[in-house]
Amino acid sequence: MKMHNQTILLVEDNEDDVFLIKRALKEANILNPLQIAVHGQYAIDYLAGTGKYADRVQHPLPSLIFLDLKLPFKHGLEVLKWIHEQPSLDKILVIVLTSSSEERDIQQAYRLGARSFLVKPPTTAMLLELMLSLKNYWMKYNEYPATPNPP
Amino acid sequence: MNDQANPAPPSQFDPAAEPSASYDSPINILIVDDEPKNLTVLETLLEDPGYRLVRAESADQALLALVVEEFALLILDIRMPGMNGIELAHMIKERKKTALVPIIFLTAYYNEDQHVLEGYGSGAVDYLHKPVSPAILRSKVAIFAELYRKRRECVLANRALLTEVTERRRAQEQLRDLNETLKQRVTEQTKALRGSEERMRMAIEATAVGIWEWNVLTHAIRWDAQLFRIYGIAPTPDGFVRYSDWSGAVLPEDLPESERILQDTVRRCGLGRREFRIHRRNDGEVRDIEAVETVRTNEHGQAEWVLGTNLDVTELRKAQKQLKAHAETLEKTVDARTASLRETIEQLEEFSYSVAHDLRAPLRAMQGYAIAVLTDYGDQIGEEGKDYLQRISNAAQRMDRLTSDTLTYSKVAVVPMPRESVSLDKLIPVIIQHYPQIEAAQAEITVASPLLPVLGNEIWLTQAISNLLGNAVKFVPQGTTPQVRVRSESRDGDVRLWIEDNGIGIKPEHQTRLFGMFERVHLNEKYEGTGIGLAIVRKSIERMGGTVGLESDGETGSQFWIQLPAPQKKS
Repeated sequence: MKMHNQTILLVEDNEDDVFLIKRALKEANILNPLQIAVHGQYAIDYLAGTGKYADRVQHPLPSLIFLDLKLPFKHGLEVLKWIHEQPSLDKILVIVLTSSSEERDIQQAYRLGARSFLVKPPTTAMLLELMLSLKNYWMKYNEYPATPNPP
Repeated sequence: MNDQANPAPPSQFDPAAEPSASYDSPINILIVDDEPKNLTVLETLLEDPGYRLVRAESADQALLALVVEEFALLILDIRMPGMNGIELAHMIKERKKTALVPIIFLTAYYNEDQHVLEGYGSGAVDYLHKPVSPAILRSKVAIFAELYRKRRECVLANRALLTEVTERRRAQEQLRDLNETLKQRVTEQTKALRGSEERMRMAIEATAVGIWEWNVLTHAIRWDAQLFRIYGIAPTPDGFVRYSDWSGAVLPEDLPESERILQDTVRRCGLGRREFRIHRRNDGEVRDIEAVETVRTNEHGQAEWVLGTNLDVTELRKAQKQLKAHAETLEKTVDARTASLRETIEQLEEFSYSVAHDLRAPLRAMQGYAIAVLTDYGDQIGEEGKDYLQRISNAAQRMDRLTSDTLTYSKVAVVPMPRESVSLDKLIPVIIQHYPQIEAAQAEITVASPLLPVLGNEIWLTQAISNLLGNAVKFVPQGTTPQVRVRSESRDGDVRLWIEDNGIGIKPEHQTRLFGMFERVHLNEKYEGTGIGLAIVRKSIERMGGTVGLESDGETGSQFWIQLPAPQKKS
């Protein structure tokens, strides 16, 4: 099946980046519901459905996660590792979207189950271009397993 | 050289000028008379196998004969036409060579001649009155002949003596030279010997082994002189000591173990080795002793004798300890330095990681918001406002590039850069295809395949070559299609890769600083750049063991090159 109205979780602590990514998504006409987690622990809480994220109606499990790496409290790689260890979350598409392409991060991210590693582009135009190609690839063409993740 | 043993030649003889005559050759006598019959008379009178008579019928003939030959005696007629006998004698006496030849004048009368003759003095000159008495003549001639013979003998003897003396002197000199050489050699050898003796003595003292023997049956213990020295104990006349002389010297804490090993060695009838410390008796110093002993058995296989050696190894152990301590210190220093270096690298990595993330985020925001304002409120702020926003966006982008290039540069200096054989023929098309700035320039890039392989690090070589290609297509005059030629050549076992463009070139005066950090030689507005790209090229190539450079006249393009070792050919 294709990804239509599935939730996207953006794990990003920098509100400027949140603003710019939101804008780019909108411009690229990616209209999926967007949830924000502003640090690593919140991301884990959200995915585990604990604390303020207990309500799955309000905070549905995402099909796609944009994960920043340099995060307060829990590093993005720790989040990735945690997700990797949860069998129930193995179908979530995790895309690392971070500021820099450190080789050690890239290696580690793929080892921990990231499907893609992207560097935040320096300009809005490039960010838009990136979002458009994401939309085409991951949303228009990519096939996903039929059984959605259990709530 | 001319010293005591140089006898002067006999005064009246010049040995060199003297005849080569031997002892028994006939004696030459020159007879001079203008009357041939007188000469014949003289010949008759003086006939003797011991004489050889030479005739001269005038003074001139006589002189000639005197030049040619040597004569023992002249018999001279005074009355001669032309030069008379007196005048001839005068000339003869004047010539050094003939001055001493005796002359017998033959004179007819007692006259004025006699005074002249007496003037010569006796010995060298004599005279006879005519008519000559044959007996007197013969006897006078015989005397002169004898005189001559004696003289000749004397000269010959003298010559022989001289020869011998010369020979001896030469021999003496040779001997002296030999002596000198010998003496010198002896001195040298003595010196060397003394040195080696000194060393030997030191070596003996340092490693001198003291020996002891112990009769197991009688319990007699005997030491050699060196062992007494090692223990600082005055030797006993016969060398016998008591067991307590040894055990009392050993440090109490070392004694039990040492005794146990010794007893064990005796029981096993084997070979034992111990190390213990002693108080040296004469100065109380603690010395390290290494002991080895062996047991000699009798025909029944029972221990009979124990023979042992002691070696003072204090200095050796001290040196070993120092060496070990030194090595440990060195190791610690190396460890500390390595740790500090590692820490530095880690800090640097941490720093660049933070820079990469934290420094770039605000720039993205600046750029993003500026564009957001431009997009959302552009029509409200006028052209000038829009221009300012664009400038903010451009500045932010530029800052972002600077940041990432600086990061790259900081990495190129420290990251490991393992080298391997890299095929430029494969790498360069990939770079051309995948680097957006190269593709965007729509340049004509010609690759002169096949390119030679190099020894380098592929990741950083990719970075360096893409930087050079990026420059090659960037710095071209407006409206010109960039044309780039890539070729390789072999150079002194290295490979040089040329990247030649048709760009604006670089003036020779700018070329030296071109590869420096933040160096830009073109105006910002026309050609964007951070001034780090070539610094990265140089640093990375240098870290691969290569060099970089360029050729350009500043007008018709640049020819950049990087030179790297050629990979080892696999045989």
